[in-house]
Amino acid sequence: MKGYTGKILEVDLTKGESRTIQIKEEIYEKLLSGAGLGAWWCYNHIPAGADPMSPENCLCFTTGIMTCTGATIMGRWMVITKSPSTGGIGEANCGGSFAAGIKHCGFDMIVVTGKAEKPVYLYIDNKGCQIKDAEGVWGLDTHEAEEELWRRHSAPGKKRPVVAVIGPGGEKQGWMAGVCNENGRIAARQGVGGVMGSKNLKAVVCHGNKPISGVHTEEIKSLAKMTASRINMAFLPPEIPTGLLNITKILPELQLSPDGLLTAVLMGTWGTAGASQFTGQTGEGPIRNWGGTQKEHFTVRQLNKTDAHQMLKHQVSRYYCYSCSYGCGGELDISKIKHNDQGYSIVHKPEYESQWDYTAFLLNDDNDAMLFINEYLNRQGVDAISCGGCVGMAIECVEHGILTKEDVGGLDLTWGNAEAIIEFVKMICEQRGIGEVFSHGTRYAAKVIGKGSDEFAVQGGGMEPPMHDSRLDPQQATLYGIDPTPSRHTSGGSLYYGCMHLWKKVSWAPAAAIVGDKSGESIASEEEALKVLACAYYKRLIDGAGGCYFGMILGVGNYPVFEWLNAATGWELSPDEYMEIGKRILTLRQMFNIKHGKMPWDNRPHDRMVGDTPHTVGKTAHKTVPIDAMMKKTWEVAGYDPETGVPLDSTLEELGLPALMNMAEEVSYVG
Amino acid sequence: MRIEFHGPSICDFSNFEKDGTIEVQDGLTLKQFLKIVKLPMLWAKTLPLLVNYEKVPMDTVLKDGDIVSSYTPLGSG
Repeated sequence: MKGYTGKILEVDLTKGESRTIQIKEEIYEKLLSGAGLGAWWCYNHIPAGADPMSPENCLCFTTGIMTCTGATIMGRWMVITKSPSTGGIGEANCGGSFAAGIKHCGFDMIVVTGKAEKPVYLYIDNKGCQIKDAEGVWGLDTHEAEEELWRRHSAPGKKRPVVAVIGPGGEKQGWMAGVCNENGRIAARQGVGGVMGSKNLKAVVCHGNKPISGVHTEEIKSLAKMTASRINMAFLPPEIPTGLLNITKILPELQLSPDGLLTAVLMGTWGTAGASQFTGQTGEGPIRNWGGTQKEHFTVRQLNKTDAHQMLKHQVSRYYCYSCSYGCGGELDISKIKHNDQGYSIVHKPEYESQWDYTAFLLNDDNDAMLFINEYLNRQGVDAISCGGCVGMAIECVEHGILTKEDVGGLDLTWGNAEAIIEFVKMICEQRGIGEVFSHGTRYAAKVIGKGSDEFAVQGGGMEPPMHDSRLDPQQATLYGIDPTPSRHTSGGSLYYGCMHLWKKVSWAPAAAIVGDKSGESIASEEEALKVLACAYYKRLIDGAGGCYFGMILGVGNYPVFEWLNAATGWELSPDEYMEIGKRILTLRQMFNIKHGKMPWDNRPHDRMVGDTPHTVGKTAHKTVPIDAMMKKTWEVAGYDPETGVPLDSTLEELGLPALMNMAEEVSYVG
Repeated sequence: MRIEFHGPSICDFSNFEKDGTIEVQDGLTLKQFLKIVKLPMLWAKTLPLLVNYEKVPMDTVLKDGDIVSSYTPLGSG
């Protein structure tokens, strides 16, 4: 076995049928599994112009080649579909345990098409797939539904099934809805949960135990042991943590020379939210819906009041996703926090994105409110990043008289008003009043509201950006723009590129500016374009392997993806050849968007994200990214038309894509 | 000998090459090297400090090509 099963499960909910499809070796050799396999299927099987919420849309649950082979930090699963929020290819990526669930049922991907007449869920085990009535599950939140499905399908002596499930946000077909597993790990972005809801599909339950292996199992395990032992070297002694976060205050500038391995220090101790002091002190965390600065609007005292230390006070245990040796997650007991009108108790620790979004971004220093909102959104199955962007936009619309107090349900919706923010989040999730408009995201809301509200709808290509200020990182700004799934911080950026050390293995990847002046990063040069493309291709490769972004930033020496893939598949490809696969996946996704009429410039980041009108104070003062020039240069270097972002025919030929883009009929049904 | 160093921006990088390496005299111990790059000893002793991804004593003699890594705060997530 080469890590992949060679099979996908296709379920047609309209017909109530499922069948197994054998996938040609060539597809894996060209596109790996995961994001590549999903993009290939969606390109070939979703008709041009299809309504994302129609039965024509495909919903793909997929995982990577390395998952279940013995490699570590390789437990990601992805949901790939046509996105209602962007109109292009949608892709949300998640940890937890569902990735292994797909594989152990004997599949690399589960594809759902059509629409069920009434709510259903899928139960998949070694014998095949059953479409089951979702009565008693539909209407439950993600946590309740998962518990109920565990209860229904657990048996003495048999391992509990894994479940991917939507909450009420997905059932209502919100464009910000995601798909959850493990009681709140969410594939949040691009509205993939809304698509699932449009198919009347509540959940996918995987309960198989088929074995998975790679060609050279011992080599895979040996490499995994190396990675795990290095990570263990990077942890802090237990007596150290208090106060460490504050050391960022003494750092002069965002000029770093990180060893990616040592990101484990931060992640292992605090989780991703440990970044908050850093992002606050350096200006990397956007403030006041990207319109303000920490210096003006959020004091150091407020930063301290809402940082990751405050979360650790509630932590009862660490949490590890499947196959992870890193453990950035944690479980908190929030039963005694304020605002907890739902009686939540043990919950997942908020990620940095949620933590920053519902504190500094909205000028809220009530940490309990953030903890409550994070869990509420997980249970509703709604994307915290996009929802926070909607709240920020709504506050500014009220502030500027575009929306009245009555428009927002009589709330005193102002910066930092925790009670009003909580209530407005509920309005969005429940689609009450103007919450229904915002449940479609900021771009849609701006179209409906009008009156110049698009100034406050901070998004790129229909996707609200994460909590990383691209004005300070032109590479990241460019990646926000050139990625076919736009506004995606996990594609990389200058800081992350510095961690990855790709230049040590990939012949054409330029060395990062490890020390000294980084002003060259704001120039639309070939060197900067190559760095951007290295991030973009590498991320696609990781997504084909089933890897995690936090593994990716450990660096290629510590997270040996190229070696793992060769060991699993028996191939003998070079890092350059693997990066070519990453480019092929990226370009296929670009072609999906073009096929559906979503042209590349649509993903240009919002003016605020690139400082078209620069700030005058704070860390982002006078920072303007020459985004148009940088996107054009990046496209040119990639072999795309620099004016339009459309891949050149010669590039498609070099990548062997024309043959892969005409394979709708070339499927082999085996069961 | 040439040492690759990854450390926080409070260090002195003035004598480093663009690739993050620095030429130093043979036979330096880790402690002596850290003095050259001006990494505060409190930082070095408190936070993770690795040589070739291993924890080693301060009196370890460095050799050509070694990678010295000190914790650097950053953001992600």
